Amino acid sequence: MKTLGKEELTERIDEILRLVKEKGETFEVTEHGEVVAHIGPASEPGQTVEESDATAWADLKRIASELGPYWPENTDAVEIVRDVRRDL
Amino acid sequence: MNASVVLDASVWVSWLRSPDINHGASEIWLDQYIAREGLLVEPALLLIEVAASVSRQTGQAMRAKEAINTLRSISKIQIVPLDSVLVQVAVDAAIDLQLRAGDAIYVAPAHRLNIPLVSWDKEQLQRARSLVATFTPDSYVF
Repeated sequence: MKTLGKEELTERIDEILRLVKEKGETFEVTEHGEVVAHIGPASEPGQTVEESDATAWADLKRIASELGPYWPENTDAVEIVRDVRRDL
Repeated sequence: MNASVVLDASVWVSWLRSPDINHGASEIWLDQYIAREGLLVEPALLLIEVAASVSRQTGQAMRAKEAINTLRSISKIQIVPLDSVLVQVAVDAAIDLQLRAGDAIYVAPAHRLNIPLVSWDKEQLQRARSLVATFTPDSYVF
């Protein structure tokens, strides 16, 4: 989630809405340094929370499928996480 | 009352990594857990670890961003910030259990909320065992 001030939101509103709509990005809006609002993709009209979650889980499975060919062999998730955890 | 667990990044990454040795077991566990409407409580570090794992290992930055945005949108995943209370719990766990720093950040919310930690990392599970209930996905009893 990116942070931007109220004035920046006003100046970049068209760009911000495009990023939310097209890339699913989320933003928190601050006023005098305090977070006052969040902006993110709306659920599909009429979609329940359960339906929205089901769509999201399906999206994650699709992403996992698309990532499949790009993962290196000869390693595993535990080692991969240990690698990024060493970067703390 | 539905179950709550802390799910370590090792399970998430194995679920996202189709060639992973634990991918099938992670998928079965998550499918069952989701079907039972269980809550996944995750330290904010998870988002960074999944993002870094996908981006560093696959080079697929856009898919990493999409995965993180999607994770954030799921109502049954509760992302908890690393606030001062959680930091202190993690510090105590790191000292008492000689945990890796990142491992302690997952143990902390499990201990604070008295819920299990589910992970594929044997060292993390072994060291955390005296403080929280620990399971691998294939040892978790629904």
